[in-house]
Amino acid sequence: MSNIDLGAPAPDPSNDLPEHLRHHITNRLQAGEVVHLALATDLLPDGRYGDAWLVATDQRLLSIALTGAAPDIVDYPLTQLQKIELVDHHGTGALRIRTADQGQVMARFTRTLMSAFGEVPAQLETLVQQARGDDEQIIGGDPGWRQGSSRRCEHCGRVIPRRFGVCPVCLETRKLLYRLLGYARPYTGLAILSLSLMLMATCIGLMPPLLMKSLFDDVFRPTTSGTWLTPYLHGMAAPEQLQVLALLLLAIYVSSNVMGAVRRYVLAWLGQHVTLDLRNQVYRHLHSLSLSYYNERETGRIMSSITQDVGRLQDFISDGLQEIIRDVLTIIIICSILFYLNPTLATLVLLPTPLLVFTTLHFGGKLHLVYRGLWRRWAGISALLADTIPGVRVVKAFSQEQREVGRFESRSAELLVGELRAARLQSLFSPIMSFVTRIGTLIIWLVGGAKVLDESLSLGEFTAFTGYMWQFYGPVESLCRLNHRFQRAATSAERVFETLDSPVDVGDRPHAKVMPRVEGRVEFRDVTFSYDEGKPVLEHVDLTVEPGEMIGLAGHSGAGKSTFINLICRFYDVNGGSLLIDGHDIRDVELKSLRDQIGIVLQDPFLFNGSIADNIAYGKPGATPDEVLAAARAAHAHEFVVDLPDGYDTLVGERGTRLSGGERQRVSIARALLRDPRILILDEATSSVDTETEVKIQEALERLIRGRTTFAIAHRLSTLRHANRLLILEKGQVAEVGTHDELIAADGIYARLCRIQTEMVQRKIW
Amino acid sequence: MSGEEPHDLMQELDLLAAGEIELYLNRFSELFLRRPGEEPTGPLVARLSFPLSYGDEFISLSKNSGEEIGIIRRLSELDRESQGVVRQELEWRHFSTRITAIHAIDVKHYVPHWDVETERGRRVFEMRSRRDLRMLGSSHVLLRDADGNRYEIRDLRDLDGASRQLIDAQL
Repeated sequence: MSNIDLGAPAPDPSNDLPEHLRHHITNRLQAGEVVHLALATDLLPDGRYGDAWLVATDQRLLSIALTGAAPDIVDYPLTQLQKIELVDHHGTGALRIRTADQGQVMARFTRTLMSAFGEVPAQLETLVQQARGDDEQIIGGDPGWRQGSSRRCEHCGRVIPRRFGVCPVCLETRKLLYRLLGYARPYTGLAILSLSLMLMATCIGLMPPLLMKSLFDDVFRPTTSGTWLTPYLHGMAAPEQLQVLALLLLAIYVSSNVMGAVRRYVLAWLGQHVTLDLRNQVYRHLHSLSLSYYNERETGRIMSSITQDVGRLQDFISDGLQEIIRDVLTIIIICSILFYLNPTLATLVLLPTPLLVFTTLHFGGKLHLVYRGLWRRWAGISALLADTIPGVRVVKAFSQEQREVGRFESRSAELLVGELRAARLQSLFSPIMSFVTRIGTLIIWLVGGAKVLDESLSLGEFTAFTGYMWQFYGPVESLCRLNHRFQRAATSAERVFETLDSPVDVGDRPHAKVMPRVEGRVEFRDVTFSYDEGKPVLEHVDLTVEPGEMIGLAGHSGAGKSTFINLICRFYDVNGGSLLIDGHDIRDVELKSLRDQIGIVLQDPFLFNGSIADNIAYGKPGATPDEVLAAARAAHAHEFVVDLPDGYDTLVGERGTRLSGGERQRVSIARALLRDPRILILDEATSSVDTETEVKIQEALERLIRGRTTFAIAHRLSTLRHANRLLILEKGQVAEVGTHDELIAADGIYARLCRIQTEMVQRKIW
Repeated sequence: MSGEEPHDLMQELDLLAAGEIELYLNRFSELFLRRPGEEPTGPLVARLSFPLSYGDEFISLSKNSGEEIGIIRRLSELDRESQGVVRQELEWRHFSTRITAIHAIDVKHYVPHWDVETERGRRVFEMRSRRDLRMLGSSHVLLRDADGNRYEIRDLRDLDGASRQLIDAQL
């Protein structure tokens, strides 16, 4: 168990101790005794929730339960501890110690604190070793909680909602959006162009009510005060004035639409280019990340960061931001014009605005919830279908059709209830909104109309007011949804940047050499590896494989066989020791030059969309058809391929012919052979083919593995009979190495596995 | 073990020496292979390995039992008579008709009915899905009708304008 990175905890967190706790322990501590660790638990020894602490000094380990007036304190000198272990009771956890003559639970805690306690044993071990002055290991059971659950935010510890995937509280919205805008920087000129086009179009778009005012106040019923257009219309007859105004209106409509069209295209261009850059950058980065990145995340989420999230960002960059500016601008301009025309009426008319904002926010929130619920019910129905339709054989076999129909009908009914609730809300929402927006008009009629009658307001002003009222509500409503919009964009940005910021843990080191042509000597030097810290999968593996040797890997499931292979391909880097090929540490060579010389056949071979020939030539683009054919023949894929209507041109994968598991394996063997690899890896390569074909493939492989270092994993031990040496892994360690005969003679794990398989075969025969 | 040269993959490619073999139809119209001084092998089935991308290269000959007896690298390597025999066999197996013009593509009940002119005469066929239409490169189109019959358009650019318009809507 290595704890290189887990030095002794930083001394004296006693400053962080709450006053009441410090009070209880200071009088117990001796002079010069330093508190190294103090961790609050949330369960008292009797199972009630409460205030309890685990405290470690450089001399002692204390368990303190603050119950009642006198705290319950247990303490042990560190030197007496012989074992420290975390116990997973599933519902709760416990830290247990053991001395020479007794055992004691020092802390109990709920699942919430499990990851907080994950590192405690290692920290305590360091303290104990320091206190004793030796380095004897004393850690016992370790349930491996250290990894930290991704359910909680690393910064604030809050629960992360599953559908967000990121902590909504820690989202630094402004910072994220600023970084996002950085992607638009190369296109600043265009952004400014479209923004100014938009501003102009907005201003022009606000002109018609003013023209209307002029139409009334200059043409129909000229007033003494006139309008801003009066000087220009002076001296014309009324019909001419009308024509001028109509021409102006035409000019406004034409120019604002032309500008709108140009702006729309410029924005689309901008948005598409920004997202093109972002999308490609994300995808390129995804391919430089190691497998551990993919193991830790759901495929769907990774995919949606490229499709959905980047799309949302485009929407925000191109439309969102500019719309916000436009809305704010429109509101300001309209307000100024209204106040310019008639301050009293403007004040009255704008009075219902808060009501509008309130209604929009209130109903908006409610509708959002109802629709979310509805969406969930739809998802439930889809899930039910996805469950029962593929499983229809089972349903019929157990004659449970009635029950399945019943389940569907009840979900269907729930959906109906949800739909009706949404419809109810929606049918309430629209009239209320339309009523609220009409209050303004009502006020104009009532108050403005009265002013027109006593001639303190011109007819033109009256109509202009009405016109602006209608243009006013759209922007207000849209700004009400601003927060939601920002939040959505920021969430997407966070997910995209999270991908972009994931460090490349298995990558080319600076000054990595190109791997020369591999001879095939593979050396494991004291290799230790774990996927999750604290749970080693391979421990202290030492092994030297000579060039051209075939190594058969066997052992129980989970013994570390596939890990062994993952390390040779450098899908992961070793945690301890080193792995050398021809004397080069594989971390010091360029990944591509290493993997180009390795051919691998996986247990569940993956074929891409495309023809069979494309799939065989996947690892060697530009391979000649002769090579494809030769590889396919060697892998005994040729027999079935040539029988397909389109031969090697047959499409496979999602959109093409479905191949059986054994057929896919044979195609993937051909794919590996075509690369002419120096190191060949067969991970259960023939597990899905029938015995007869397997024998044929084995014969071909026997010829082909000559001169190449080969690692083969197989459960069917007969598959490994050509191996020069067999390597039996057991719990991450090399348990046995030797030839078949040697291992049988040694009568160990291998011999037992062999016997079991032979017995099975015999039983089948009998 | 060490230092041994790996087995050359290309040895796995079992090519027939075209100069030494002769293919013919026996009196039952079955395909047979004869090597000088040997008993004829047959009846045989001839199949193209890459019917779309390499036409009459890589012809696989196998017995009815499925056992392959070898591959002919190029049809043109055979003597003239053998070529004719094999070509005819391949023709029946990889039967595909060249479309020279499209009269109409009418969709009835969601099923497109193609009314086309072919090298073998006029024909109307139905297609089941878009997937049955496959592009090979940018202008070579392969079609498969609802019954599995194959058609092809070697080069879209050779079609007349009206046909082009009709098919462009389908691609």
